[in-house]
Amino acid sequence: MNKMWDSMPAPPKVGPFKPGAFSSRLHDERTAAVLGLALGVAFTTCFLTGLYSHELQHPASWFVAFPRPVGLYRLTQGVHVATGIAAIPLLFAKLWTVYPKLFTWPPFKSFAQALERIFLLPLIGGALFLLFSGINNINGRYPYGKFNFPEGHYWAAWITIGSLIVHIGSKIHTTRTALSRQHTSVANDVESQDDTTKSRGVSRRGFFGIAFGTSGLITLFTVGQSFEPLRKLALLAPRRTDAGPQGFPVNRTAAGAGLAKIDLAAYRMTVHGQGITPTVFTYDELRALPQHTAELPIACVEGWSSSQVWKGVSLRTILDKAGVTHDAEITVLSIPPAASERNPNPRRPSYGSSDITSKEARDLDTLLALEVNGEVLHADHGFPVRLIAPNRPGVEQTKWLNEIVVR
Amino acid sequence: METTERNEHGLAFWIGLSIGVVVFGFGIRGALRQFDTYSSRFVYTKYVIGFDFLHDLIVAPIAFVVAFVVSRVAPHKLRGPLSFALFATAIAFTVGWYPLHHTAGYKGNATFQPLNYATAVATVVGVIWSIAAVWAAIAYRPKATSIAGGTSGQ
Repeated sequence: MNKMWDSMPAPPKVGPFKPGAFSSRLHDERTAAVLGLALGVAFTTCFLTGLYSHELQHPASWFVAFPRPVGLYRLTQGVHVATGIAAIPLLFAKLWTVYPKLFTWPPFKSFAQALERIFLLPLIGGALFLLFSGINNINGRYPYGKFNFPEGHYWAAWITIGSLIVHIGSKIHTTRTALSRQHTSVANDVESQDDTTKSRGVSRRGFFGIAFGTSGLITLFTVGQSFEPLRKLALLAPRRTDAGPQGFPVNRTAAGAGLAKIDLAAYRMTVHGQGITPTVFTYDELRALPQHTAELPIACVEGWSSSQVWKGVSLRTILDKAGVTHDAEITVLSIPPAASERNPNPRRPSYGSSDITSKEARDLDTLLALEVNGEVLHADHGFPVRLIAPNRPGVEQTKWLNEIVVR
Repeated sequence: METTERNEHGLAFWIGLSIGVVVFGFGIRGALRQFDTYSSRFVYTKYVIGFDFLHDLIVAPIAFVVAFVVSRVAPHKLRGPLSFALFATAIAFTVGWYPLHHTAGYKGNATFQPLNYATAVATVVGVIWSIAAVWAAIAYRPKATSIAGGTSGQ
């Protein structure tokens, strides 16, 4: 069978196909193994934290969201974005190391090797797509046109991880061997080079210093968007945890959501649904109910997060007042956008509602918040009433609430 | 080479392939169900696979040309620091590209990209080149010469 591959016409020995074209000692198995190991850890971390985020937003029937620990999502999503950013230089370093393999001739010598190499296409393409669509997302950029980011990112993660598992299966022995010895060439042509050529480049230790050092620096200059002690160093991050009305950021402003100025005299919060008589609260009635204070983070899927002290009415207090006695699941809805000439019949947007499990609804810290840090909520933070609950993605902390549906 | 072939495509490979194909297939099936029109599937595939070609045909050749020039032009001791500075600067510009151009997706939201990113990116690049300069200085530091009949063993 090998003879069939060997009989393939050889490419001209020019450019990257020329023997010795890749003379650096860095194209070796050991360098590839160390970087591959780091990337394996990074992508697995991103995959698992990404799955958790996806399940919190689009729960499967088997998934149960827990309100504790309060800051778990803040941690997992911060790690997700920080690890993704840290992986960018590592991925480029790894691709640099193995690039000569692209020009190996014949490209495969067995059916198994052909399969292995075919899976490199979705592995590399998927990995790059995941990292750069992630960078696009944290900057609020969605240039894809025909598909949405969350779905595209989610399914690409499965495709990439599947390809990664195939790759790990083929490289596990090589990696173990390479890590247990000093030096083996990746490209056949590297073996033939002389020591003078080798000495032109950077040492392997220097190369690791460049790759991991860059990864560390880029992390240092971005992670402050979720790790508040480093916020002043977040020079490359699109968010600062202290920038915004009342001292923290927002994703969607009231104007961006198309909301007109709220008339408090006309404002009503309606609770209705399965097995209860509809109950209506005015803003003053909400303020007159027992108030509860909790320090809770807003943790955005885009990686930024910020912890604030919130004050308002526990959702369970509202449910008790409305006569909800069963372990109900809840949907909270925001005020629909104001009608305009351009949009005479506005519909409630997708971010304008979120579902709350019965466990979350009965948690004392699940609040219909009226204040933050001792002030009435700013319009951009959801005035007059917003949901703030432990361990939820920011997009599920619905603002401008006026309706609670009991299910 | 045959040993490598046997090692790389032995039992571990077939186990990895069996599991990987299932996970990969789940992703493909999900994508096909999610993107149910020809045009959306085409655009999605273009993005996922396109990044691979973008790297192999444009990014990697440019990187190799730069590395080639560095290896020929820079003195031996400067190659590490210079490579670090160039690579880290390129990554900093890649990550900081959108903030630098203030191309936030959320219009009218002052909390998005709130800094002066020309200054911010310049600061980061300054830090990178400072680290490279320290690295170069260490590389050029005269090595301590051993003194015959020194203190070892005392």
